[in-house]
Amino acid sequence: MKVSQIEAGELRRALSKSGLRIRTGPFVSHVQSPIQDIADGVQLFYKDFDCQSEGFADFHLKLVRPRNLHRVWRPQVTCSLNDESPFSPLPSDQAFAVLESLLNWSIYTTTYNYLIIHGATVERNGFAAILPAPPGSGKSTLCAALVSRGWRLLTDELTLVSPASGLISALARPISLKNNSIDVLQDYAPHEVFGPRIYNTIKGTIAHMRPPTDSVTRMHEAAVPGWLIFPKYQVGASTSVTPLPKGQAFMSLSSGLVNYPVLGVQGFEALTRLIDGTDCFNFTYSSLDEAMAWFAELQPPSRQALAL
Amino acid sequence: MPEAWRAANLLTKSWPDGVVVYNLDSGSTHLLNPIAGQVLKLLIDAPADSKTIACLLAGQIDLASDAELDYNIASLLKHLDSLGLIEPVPA
Amino acid sequence: MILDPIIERALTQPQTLAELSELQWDRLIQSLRRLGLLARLQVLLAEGGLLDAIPAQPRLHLESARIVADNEQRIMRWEVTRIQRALEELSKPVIFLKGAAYLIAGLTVAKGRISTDVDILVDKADIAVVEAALLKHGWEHTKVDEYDQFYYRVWSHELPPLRHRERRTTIDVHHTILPLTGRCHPDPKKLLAGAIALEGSDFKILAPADMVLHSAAHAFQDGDLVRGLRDLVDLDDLLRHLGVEAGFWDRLLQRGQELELTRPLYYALRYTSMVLHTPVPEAVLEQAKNFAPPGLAGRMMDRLVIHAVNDRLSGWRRSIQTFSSWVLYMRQHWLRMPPFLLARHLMHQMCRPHKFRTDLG
Repeated sequence: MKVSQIEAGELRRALSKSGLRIRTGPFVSHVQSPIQDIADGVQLFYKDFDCQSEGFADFHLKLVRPRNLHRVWRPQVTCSLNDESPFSPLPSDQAFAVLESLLNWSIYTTTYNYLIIHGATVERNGFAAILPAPPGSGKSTLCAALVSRGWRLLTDELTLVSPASGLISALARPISLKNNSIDVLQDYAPHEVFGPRIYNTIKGTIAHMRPPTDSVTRMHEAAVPGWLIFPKYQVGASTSVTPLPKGQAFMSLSSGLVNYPVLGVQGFEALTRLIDGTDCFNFTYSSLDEAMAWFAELQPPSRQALAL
Repeated sequence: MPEAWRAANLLTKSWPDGVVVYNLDSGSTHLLNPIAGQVLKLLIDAPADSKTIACLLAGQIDLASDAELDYNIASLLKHLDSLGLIEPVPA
Repeated sequence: MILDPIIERALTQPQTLAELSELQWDRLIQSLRRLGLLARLQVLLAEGGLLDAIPAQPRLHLESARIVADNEQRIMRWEVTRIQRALEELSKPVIFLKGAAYLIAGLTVAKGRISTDVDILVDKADIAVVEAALLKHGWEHTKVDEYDQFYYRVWSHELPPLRHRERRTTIDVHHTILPLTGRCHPDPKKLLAGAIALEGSDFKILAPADMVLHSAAHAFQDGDLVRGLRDLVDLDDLLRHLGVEAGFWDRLLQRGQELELTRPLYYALRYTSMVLHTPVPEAVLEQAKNFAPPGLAGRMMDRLVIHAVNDRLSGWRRSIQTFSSWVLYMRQHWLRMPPFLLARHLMHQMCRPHKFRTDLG
């Protein structure tokens, strides 16, 4: 059943007690929490996602308010993943942001059947654009804008490449926006659904944008990689695109690789195949309109000698 | 200087702007410029000593085969050894 | 029954796992992850041709863990070649121990292990030159506190661990296999004499019986029982594979006595057969009873082991958690050092900023 089919009070009860198992692409995450913000966040952002109350779960996440002195004047939230606590307690109003971080963390730390690139991926007309994400690159802003203009959302944070097929798997989870980009997107895409702002997190102010229903419905469609685009947001810059030679693209991508060394030969082959099969660019921008226009004109990649 | 060098257990992928190399034993990955990549590929084809490599390379990329090239190749080979990409052939 | 039944089935009868429900798989994957044995199960299933019968989702977790373990093995294999390159010119005997030895010997127990630390045993007289050669080839000291250096060199059985500058891998150089301050003193010269050389080089691994005894000594006397089930799994695998060789069991009992490691041998045989149903011959178990500790100590050890081998959160036998952890901690240090030294060591650990004076007085 879909999360939207569960009545609000029932959802809160389910999350508090035995938890809810939510499917996001290849993974089922078992989420348990009595915290209202979590129930609200799940209801808002995961409304189109399939869920169930039983069955095998890949990850077990719990978020609670610890019963310590803090609960009186500065309530906290603590979390655990598979019964281990990877993060220190945080202010409880950050609970939903913590959930999203923990969902990412669970994949980061256990998943080696995919090559993981830190970056966003969107898809249109059968090809995926991967946006690797060094800090300050503005990839989430770009990703959110593209999604609001009809590109399918696969992921805004963790790009999963299958070593066997070379295809990219979708998670279709909420897009996380920071600080200025929240205003920018709310201006640019007022029709999208945004959650409440969460203040004073380690990354500043965060808000989430709900994934479009279509992206969620299609989460099991893997995508063929088409373009590798390294974004760089620069205030006042005009849109500038530089084609990237493949060797350089490899170097640029290497710092965005999360689990590459562990995958060994498979990782090397998956990565070289990915770069071989995509057109690679450095992309500097400040105007979202211009950026959207450029993306709209993207041609299918001129693939060199490969079989996908 | 060792008698001859041989390549370690490697996979390579060549592009116009460089050669990516994966060392199957050490698990390390390197990006070499085209010249260094070419030298490595010569050693993957067959073990050879420094002088032979210099000659082969000079022929392939139309360079003068002289003492300076020999010296540069010898240095390059030492560097590739320190990266674990090649190793001396036991006498 | 000592182990959670599902974990016991997974480790001793993997062919029955196809019958598990989704919920049972869910719990099993979680427990094995906590116990560090996910890769081990994947190895058992793969070797037995049983993977296809496992449902897709749990299988992905097993495969993922196996990918990690294979990478650890590759790292260790490379380390062994680098260590050989650093030490070969010394022409001194060097014995690879534990994981590195299992890997070199091609033992199944090597697959699915997740450690990259390499341990070697050298003659005490060669320690200085070995250390110098390693430092020359890029290893460096990690424990720079004077007290730690002193503790390791004088009272323990190894150099302080050395870490490679670039690869960040660790090597432990031992000159005995148990601390000098402990109660058992297996003669390292006997171990060196019995070791098996690799391809006519100076690099060796321990003889099969000695390998088992070392593993047992590590699990039950020197090491931490916190790794309980993993250590038992290693011992079980070693005994199953090495035990088919003619004369192995007799040799094991004989060597246990020669090396004064009869107590850990007794524990190894008792607990592997109890927990993992290792096929130790009855006659051998009978003889090993001669090496058992006196009544009360034996019963304590039973309880500690039961606690140590179970996933702390599985709900199975969770009664004595905190107390047992404390007892385990105290026991480990008690075995390492005579009482007056223990008091001093613990005092120093608590008062770290103070400079350690070398006059023990």
